[in-house]
Amino acid sequence: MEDVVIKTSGLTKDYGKGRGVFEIDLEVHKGEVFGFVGTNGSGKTTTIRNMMGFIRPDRGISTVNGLDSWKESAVIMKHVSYVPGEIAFPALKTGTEFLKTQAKYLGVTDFGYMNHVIELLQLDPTANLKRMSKGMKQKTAIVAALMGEKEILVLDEPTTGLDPLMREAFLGLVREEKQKGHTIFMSSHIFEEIEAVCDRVAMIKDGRIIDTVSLYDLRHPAVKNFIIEFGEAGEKQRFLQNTEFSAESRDAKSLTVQCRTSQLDALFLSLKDCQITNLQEIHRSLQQQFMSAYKEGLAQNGNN
Amino acid sequence: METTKKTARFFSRPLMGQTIKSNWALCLAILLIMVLLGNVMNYAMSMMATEKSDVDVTEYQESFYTYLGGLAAYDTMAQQELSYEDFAGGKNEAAYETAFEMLNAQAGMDLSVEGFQSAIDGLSQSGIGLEKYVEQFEYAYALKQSEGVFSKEELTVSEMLTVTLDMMGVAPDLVEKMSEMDPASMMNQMYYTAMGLLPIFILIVILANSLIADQVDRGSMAYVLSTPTKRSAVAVTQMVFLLVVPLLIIGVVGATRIGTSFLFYDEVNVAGMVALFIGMYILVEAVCGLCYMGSCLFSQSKKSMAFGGGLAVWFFLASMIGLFGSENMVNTGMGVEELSIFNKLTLVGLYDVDALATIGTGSVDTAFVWKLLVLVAVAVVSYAVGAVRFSKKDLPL
Repeated sequence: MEDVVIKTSGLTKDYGKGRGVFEIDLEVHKGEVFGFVGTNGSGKTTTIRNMMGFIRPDRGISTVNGLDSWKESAVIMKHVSYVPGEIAFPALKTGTEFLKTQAKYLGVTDFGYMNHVIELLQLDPTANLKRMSKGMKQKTAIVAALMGEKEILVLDEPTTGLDPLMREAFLGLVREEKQKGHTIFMSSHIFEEIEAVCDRVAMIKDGRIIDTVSLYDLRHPAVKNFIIEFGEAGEKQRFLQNTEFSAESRDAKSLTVQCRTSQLDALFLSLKDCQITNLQEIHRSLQQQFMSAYKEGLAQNGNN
Repeated sequence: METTKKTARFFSRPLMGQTIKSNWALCLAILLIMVLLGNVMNYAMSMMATEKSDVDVTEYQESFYTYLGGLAAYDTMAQQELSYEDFAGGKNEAAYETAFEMLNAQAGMDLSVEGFQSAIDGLSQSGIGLEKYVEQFEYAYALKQSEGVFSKEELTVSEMLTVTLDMMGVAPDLVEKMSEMDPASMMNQMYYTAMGLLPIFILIVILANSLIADQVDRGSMAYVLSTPTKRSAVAVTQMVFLLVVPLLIIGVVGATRIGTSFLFYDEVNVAGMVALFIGMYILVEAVCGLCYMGSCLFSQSKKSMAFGGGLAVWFFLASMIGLFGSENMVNTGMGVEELSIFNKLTLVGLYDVDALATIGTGSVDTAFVWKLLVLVAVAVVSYAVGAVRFSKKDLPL
């Protein structure tokens, strides 16, 4: 595909004893916000390090803009900004000094956007780098990465340490970047924030991709689940006997029913004569999706 | 994109700025310590040099003893009490003139008051009190012509001293060597191969570790490498820093030391001192190269520190122990020759202070050349290995 920005194929880095990443296939398209979720130690950071060219894969390849991450990493960095998962700053005094140095590395001379981000995150960069709290360090790292205004952002757990308000502000920034047409690859283990901003999500477990879902599909599933509560137990029995939908009894008066979106009409038609006290759609969250995929322990590469 | 920054391939100015900003205080502190150490040492050495004069006084001593012998003979003969002390008082010059005249007439000697005075003046250049000479003369005079009861051999003061020392368990030839030892050379050896090296060894161990391994270990290197900066640029920039800082420090220390030498001494062998400091720089760079290599090879700060620090401490300790095997220490009885094997187990042993110090003098000992070339080779190889390895290894960033 033309618009693939980050691509890994068969990416494997084996650290032995089952640690590492195995056969990672990912494709991140231009202008997309791609989420990468997994438990601690599942291989998120290892995958990202491969993408950034910090480590050399045992097998397979990772490319950014068609360039090999390992061999051309310095060229790739012209287009990529990175927020590392572990925040450790160079031995400089203040945040301002650090940001200025970073600007020199990046060749940034226009600080307009940087100041905008600083304002949004309510960061005081004049503070002593070593005495900064975890949240402040995280904000500083985000500012340092965003000020380059590059078209690809790789963020390794960018919201750790941020309070809920700041997390919201950060997600706003991500949306801003997306609107500019920038591509964002972010890892996280917080499903809510991934759900809030991402277009697609890959799930990783024990170094293998277990599922890749489009959040559009998750929000608009082809098959919906409803909880229906009937006024009387008899009515429920009648419905269960007559219906062509797969339904499951919950308790005396209520049941769950599965229904394709195209058949919604037929479902409601069959409920027309019943006395319904409650109708509720069961929303499948990303977390549930992850849990079910996780439990299945699928080692398949579901890259759609 | 408006930021069309070129990729830094071999040198990164921002990184150099960052490295300087993070390390200048430490470098300055070490520089001050080294300048202080070097110049205090220089001052102490100049003091030592003036205390022990090199003037040859044997001739004056001989003539002084002749006069004393004459006076002693005259005293017994003429029932007089003439002595050096009395003569120095200066009130009785006439009596001495008569004494010398009489002695001249009797024994055909050529004694005079002026001759006595010039012998005294000459002997006082030795820095040893004249009363000591007088005392020694007393012993020699008392023992004159006496011989051993059993051996029938002549008894002398120096022989008595030798026997006494032997009884005390001190080898008499040791005492003789002690008077021959060269304290300046020993102090030089101590300064250039041990004390003077310690501060800068500490500095390069800390610097080499913090410039690469520590940044990789803590992860702050990510902020450099996630910009268009090649790893080779990082390796070369830090290498340049490690080459320039010791050069500046040793340069300043050397310059101040040569400067103060002009204050403390009449005569300064500038070429020799410059050669010593150049040799020191090469030695420091060889150790620094090894530390840099360790820093590049290991991704964990503690491992790199153990490697670089361990080597530096070993080099220093072995050099210290080796010092006790050096000729000077053996001569003073503070060392054993067998310990000099430690000089072969340390890079510092390749820094030949004695040979380097001969530069600028009449007889240049060229033994230092191949030793310094070995050090240069160690530095070049370890810097190269380190830089190449750093460019190719996995980084946990």
